[in-house]
Amino acid sequence: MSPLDEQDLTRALRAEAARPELSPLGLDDVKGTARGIQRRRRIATGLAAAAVVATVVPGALLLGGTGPAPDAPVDDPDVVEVAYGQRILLDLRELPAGDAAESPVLVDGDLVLPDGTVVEGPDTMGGGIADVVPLGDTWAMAYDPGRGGEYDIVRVDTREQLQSPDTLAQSRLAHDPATGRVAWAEFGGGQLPTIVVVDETGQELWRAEVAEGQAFEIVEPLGFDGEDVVYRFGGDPRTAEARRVGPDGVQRTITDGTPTSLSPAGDAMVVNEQRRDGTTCSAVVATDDGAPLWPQACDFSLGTFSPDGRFVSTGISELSGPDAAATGVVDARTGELVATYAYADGAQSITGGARWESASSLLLGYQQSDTDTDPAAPARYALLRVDLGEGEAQTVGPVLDFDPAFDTGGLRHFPR
Amino acid sequence: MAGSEAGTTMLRERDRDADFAAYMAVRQPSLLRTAYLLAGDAHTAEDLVQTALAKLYLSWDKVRDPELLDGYVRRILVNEHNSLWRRAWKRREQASETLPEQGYADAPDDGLQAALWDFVQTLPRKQRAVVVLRYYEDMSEAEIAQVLGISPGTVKSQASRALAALRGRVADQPGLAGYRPSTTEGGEA
Repeated sequence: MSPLDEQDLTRALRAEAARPELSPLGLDDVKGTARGIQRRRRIATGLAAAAVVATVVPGALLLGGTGPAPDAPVDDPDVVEVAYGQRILLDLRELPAGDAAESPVLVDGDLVLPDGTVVEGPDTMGGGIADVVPLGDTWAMAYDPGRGGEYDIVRVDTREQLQSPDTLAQSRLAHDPATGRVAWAEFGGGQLPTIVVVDETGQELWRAEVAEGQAFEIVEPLGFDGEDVVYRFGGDPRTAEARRVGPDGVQRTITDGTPTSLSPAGDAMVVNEQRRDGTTCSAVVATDDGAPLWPQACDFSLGTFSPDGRFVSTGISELSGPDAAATGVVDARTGELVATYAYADGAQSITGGARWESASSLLLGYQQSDTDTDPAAPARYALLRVDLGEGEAQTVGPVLDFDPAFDTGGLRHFPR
Repeated sequence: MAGSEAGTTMLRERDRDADFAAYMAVRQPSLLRTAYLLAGDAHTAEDLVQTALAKLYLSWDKVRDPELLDGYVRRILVNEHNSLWRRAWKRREQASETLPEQGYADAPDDGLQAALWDFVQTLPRKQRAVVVLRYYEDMSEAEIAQVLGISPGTVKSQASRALAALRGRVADQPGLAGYRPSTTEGGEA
């Protein structure tokens, strides 16, 4: 008996790929399609402006409650007693129903605001809502009407485009809870990639070109450290850097690696470093000199800081099998284990990343099936709250039934 | 002056088109094959590639590093394919649980290749994208992670789960005697 190996699969795919007769396209075909896309983009941009539906979310999508206004001052997080080393069971069959989310959530591509307003996501090829942050008494979102990764920064209440005319923006928005400032990166329109900072009314405060002669480069602002914006520079994880830039336009590299999160005080950040074998190690480093605060972790990746900066969540994980457990939260300053996620049986995955709701709770998109032997087995989906103070998880909103085409990446939460 | 500017613009566009056409000529056959493996039928594959190349054409001036072009266009291709699914879900169309007709089953192999292709078509779309990029395009986990915008760990787990599922399906097919998943001796393939 010979085992089915990877070469069998490669041979089968090559044989199948060679089989059909596929018609090559001419340049005119492609240019004609490009013109059509350009027309649809112009229309879609107009439709995006009209897509904000002021309606109460019906039935199954009622995930939002009557949360606080987005411009409400950020409270000093209450210090919640959190036990270290706790094990929190994630099992949709067991979890109690919790309160509605107090910050925006994305359900299959549509944005549900805390007051129940639904902002419909684009129903066009390659579109989506990638990020949402408070902007004064409304919200700003990174909205792609269908360009496949090129965004508009749109003010939710007036549907006004915030980035410069004729430019496109990247997917990430940074928000400073202390001052209400918002930052994004825009490109095109004859300018190199540029970080733009606005105040809570959307009025531009300053901008700085951050590219090095490249017309396009991945630039993701993470947050603010004083006047400076701290950002990721570079799309290739092998060469990406954490950098900072101030109103004077002077850029400084902080450290190599891909930064993913900045502490609320701006003094520390999470950096992922890709090794030669393709695996990734994560570290919390000081923003001023890039020195690690504790030895880097290589068996799990790090995600985002809690609002009080005490904790760091871990990245997306997929686990299966009885007694499987994954690191969930660590102490930001020491790396000490705060919580692991435990599973009963079957296959589970945290699909939407874990984002903080408060200083002691975080929300994550989650899917669970009852078997780990068949990846196509029916799964259910829910937004979960992990409450570190109570040491338990809850469902937030309904548990959605299996749908083979459900976009699990479209079930996630945006912290305020 | 204006005439000179217009002439320069036309020249630039002509250069741009020539560069793009050269890229298309080299890469299009491979993109079509990859798109076919993602989509499972020739017409959808041609549509996917047409849209992906059109989007690349619109972004052509922004991509300065030629080494990034292939990853960029593959990313568009996979996103386009995922969007087709997403739009289908929005219309509440249910994906078929049944396997596609096997018009290509005249392959002179032992049945394993055709069976594997059938099984690949039933994989969830993200797993299928990982499988196509890993085992057809021969990309590394890190490269796939970059193209799909996910972590290398997720690529690894998706590929591993897909392979486990395929082994399970092969083992369940009585007509594929001689092929059994390796669970003991020989370890993981």
